[in-house]
Amino acid sequence: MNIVSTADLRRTYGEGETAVHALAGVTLDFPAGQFTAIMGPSGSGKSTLMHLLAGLDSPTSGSVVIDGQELSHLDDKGLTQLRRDRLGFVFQAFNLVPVLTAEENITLPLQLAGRAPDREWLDKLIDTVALRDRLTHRPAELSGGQQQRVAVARALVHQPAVVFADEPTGNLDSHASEEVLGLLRRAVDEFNQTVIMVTHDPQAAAVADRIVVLNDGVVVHDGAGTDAAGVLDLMKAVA
Amino acid sequence: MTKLALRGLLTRKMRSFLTGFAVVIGVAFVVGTLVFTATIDESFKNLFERAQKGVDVSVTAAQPVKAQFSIPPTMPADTLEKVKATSGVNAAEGNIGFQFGIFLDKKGEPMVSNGPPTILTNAGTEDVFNSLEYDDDGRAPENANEVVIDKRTAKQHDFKKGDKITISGAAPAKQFTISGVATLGGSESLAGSRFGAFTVEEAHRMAGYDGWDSISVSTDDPNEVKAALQRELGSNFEVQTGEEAAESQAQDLSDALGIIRTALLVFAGVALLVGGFLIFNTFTVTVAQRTKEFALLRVIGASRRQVMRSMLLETFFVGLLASIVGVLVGLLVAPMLAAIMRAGGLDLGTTGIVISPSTVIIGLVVGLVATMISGFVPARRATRVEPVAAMRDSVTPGLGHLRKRRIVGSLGLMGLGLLTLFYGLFGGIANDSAAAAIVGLGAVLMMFGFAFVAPLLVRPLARVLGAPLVRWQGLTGMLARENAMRQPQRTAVTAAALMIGLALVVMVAILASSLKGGTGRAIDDQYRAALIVQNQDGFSPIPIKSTDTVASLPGVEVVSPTKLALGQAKGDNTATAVTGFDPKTIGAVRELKWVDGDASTLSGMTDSDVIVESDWAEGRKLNVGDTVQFTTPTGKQADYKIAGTFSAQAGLTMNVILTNAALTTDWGSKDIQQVLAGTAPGADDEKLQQSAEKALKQFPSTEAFTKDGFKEKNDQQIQSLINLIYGLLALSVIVALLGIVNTLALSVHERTRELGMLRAVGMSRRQVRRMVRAESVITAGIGAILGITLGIVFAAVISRPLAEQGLVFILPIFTLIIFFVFAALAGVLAAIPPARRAAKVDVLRAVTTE
Repeated sequence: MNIVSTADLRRTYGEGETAVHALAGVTLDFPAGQFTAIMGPSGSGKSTLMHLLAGLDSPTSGSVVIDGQELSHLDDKGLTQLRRDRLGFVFQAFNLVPVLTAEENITLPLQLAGRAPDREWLDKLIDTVALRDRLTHRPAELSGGQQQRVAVARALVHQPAVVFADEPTGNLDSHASEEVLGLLRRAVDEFNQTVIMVTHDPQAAAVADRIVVLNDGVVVHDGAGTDAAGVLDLMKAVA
Repeated sequence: MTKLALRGLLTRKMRSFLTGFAVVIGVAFVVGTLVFTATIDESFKNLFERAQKGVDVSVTAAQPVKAQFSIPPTMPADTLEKVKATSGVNAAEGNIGFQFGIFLDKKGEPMVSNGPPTILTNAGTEDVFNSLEYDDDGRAPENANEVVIDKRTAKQHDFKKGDKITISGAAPAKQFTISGVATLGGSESLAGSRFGAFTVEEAHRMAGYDGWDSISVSTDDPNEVKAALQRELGSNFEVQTGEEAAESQAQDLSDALGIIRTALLVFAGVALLVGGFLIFNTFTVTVAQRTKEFALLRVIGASRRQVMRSMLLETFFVGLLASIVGVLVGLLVAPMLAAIMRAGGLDLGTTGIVISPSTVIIGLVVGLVATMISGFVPARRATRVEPVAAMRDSVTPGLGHLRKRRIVGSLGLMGLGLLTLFYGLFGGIANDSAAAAIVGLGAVLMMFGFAFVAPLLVRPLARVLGAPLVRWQGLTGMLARENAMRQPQRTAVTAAALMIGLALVVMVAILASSLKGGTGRAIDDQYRAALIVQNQDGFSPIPIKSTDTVASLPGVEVVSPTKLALGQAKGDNTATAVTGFDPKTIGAVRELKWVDGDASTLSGMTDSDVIVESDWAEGRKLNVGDTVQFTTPTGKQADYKIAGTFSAQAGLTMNVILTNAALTTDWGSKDIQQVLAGTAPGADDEKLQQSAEKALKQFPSTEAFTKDGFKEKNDQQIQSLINLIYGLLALSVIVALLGIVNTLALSVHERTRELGMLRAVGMSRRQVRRMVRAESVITAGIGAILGITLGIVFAAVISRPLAEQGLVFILPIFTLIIFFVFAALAGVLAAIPPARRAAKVDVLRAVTTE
């Protein structure tokens, strides 16, 4: 069952001679319960792909279907609801609302939807990300790694169809990176979550089940996950 | 969402406070005004009620012609006998109320007060009517050389029982011994008026008549006796119960107060308007700074409406808190306003404050509405943030790319504003307040229109203003200029707040100089007199005997007194002021700007002729040769034939001119307005003025001027009023300056990384400060230029209808330059806190922080 699929996805900026083809025809399927890493050099279109997959931007042509819903059929309100109820996000930085505590940040999607959290699930999440003693702290009082863990918990609290992660370890040291990646891995393994992660970090990519490499707006590699060394080879081959 | 809003505010306490401060000031002004005027209202009501204690029925002369503060004629002396003879009257006493008394202080200078008159009266012998309460062992006067004065005068000028004080009335100045210092009805003065109470004979002598201004009656059956007296005395008299009399007295003052209240509220409105700009600006800036936060919320799934609600809630809380604080501060402002009024010469002698629930509610509502309106657009902008902005490398979309729409919209607004302005000024609207309101609305629309297009003007203006700074300060100046130009919208809105205050100040300055110039020119054209004698306050009457005094001065060849009276033309429903001339002598000392007629028309006037102002005649479809009928203060209906028409200039003459004799016989006019004296050519005017001053010392209410001195005095009077207006506008300017501080502080915070980078690369703290200061000066300068331009436009438009009256449009260039310099200096001042903050940026943290 494909949670996310795209068909000949294209995104062009500008027109005529100065047109930039950020994505030049990408067709991908993402089955449920899979951890995919999307990689590529700068300008490869990986960020654009993420924006389109998450419904944050509209393609010039082509389609995106998430959990059976064709995104181009949704208006802004519909997209908003989709993001609120069925998608989870982890960014590289500035994930959290500065004036809310860790716990409030975690339950934010549910609060927006006006739903009360499933207490059991919430407790499990909090313990999984090991933040029990940090719940009342504000983001400014948390380390980078702790902030990312809060973000991961928030991304999972409403049990979304898919979690999008954009360079989640970009600002972290190796220890914190390991923790966050481990959490994402557990989400896939234990909670049967689907994770699509954009990264340029070989360590991060090594945790994934599948690696997709983009270059110049098209897919140049789509294969099984490998270790960090293997990832480096892949990158060298593409460059 | 509520939690988000509240939390957001609490975290950024300083910023929320600065935002709210603007509203606090505006609301405080409004509440202060309302409390101030309500207090005065109440005090007067109480005062008149207590002063009328024991008076069951009050008799005055009827006023066929009623205008604000017009004085009813004096009743004949025998009226008192008639009243006493009426059945049902237990006791009756006549009261004298001469309103043109002058007290001299211990230095021999007349005690002047702009507004409340000095009243000379009789102390009264009937206990039942007595509301004078004496200090210590004070008592009523027992002979012609004694007087009782009010406690406030005694306190202010250090008089006490036993001291001697010089007082003049219609009779020349005389020294009296103070037999007692008294309060009237518990008040230290009569609503700000001084009073001197004499024995009844002496009071008559001082007043120059032996009739009564009012008669107090004590009776067991007020209504019966009121009817009986009215029947007995006839329609030339007005009989009221004591309560009715007190109420109508209070009502007169209340009406006058209404004007002051409206004026003050206008200034408060200006302060609020400026405050609104501040709020709009601050919220806009904070929204821009919190883009990532809003984007994140939208990504997580917050709908646009939820974001809007959160922002509106923030605005609401800021508004609520600011309004509450504003109300509290306003209660403190009221006594301050009283002090400003006192400094401006208007002492109404009130104490204590009256707070009504409606005042509090009005203050809260006004503050909340102003805040919500100002915060609405920024709130909506917050919802426009695209979720994609939360992602790493996304670029925030540029603002203000709708250039053409801006120009069109702005021109439209300004055009609409101009039209509204014209309609208010020239549309012939009957109701004065409505016309003023429409003019005000037009002005506001124009200001908004101008502010709307301001962002497009920022770049060119900044370039011009920044040029000297770049020359002088080099790199820091250039960076400052670039910063000001970087976000033209933000710079423009900040500058716009200052623009409003300055536009009004400039308009007032231009109108003032035009008024002064126009009046000066009119005086030059119309006055040939070498000496002009009038009352200290410029409009009250002076004793007739002063004419003889002036005539006897050496060098005086011609003496011509003028009169002033109030009447009502047939068909009008308001009173008209009338000037009286002596046709035989006036030609030597005065000239008119004739439309139909010439100097011989004036010198050939008979007592049944009238000369009228040409617009006045046109408005009533009258021509030379027509008859016009007036109802005079004595109740008589008198007809006059129009002998000629003239054009009034700067209000130096009233719209209607009759002969002095006509005014004396038909209008019961007993005193004179001015004495004009002519001399032989080559005479020394200064010397004449000095000898006049000496000779007129016995009439302390008078003041003598040479023609130049007269011009100066007029200028001074205009200037006092102008200064008062400046004082009230100053508040708005201060709020605008706070706005600059606020915006600058936010902008510094926003540019932390950039400042850190500059410091890392080698910019000194001093240079950083100078850069921030320069930016502030440029912003203030832009506001000043916009404000001065707008002020000139306003003044030009408003002076149009007055041009025919002789108002000459004069641009006080020097004053305008001073305003501009002040604005620049204010910019320097405003920059001090943000500059210091900027210089203190921790370099390392700045370049590595998120």
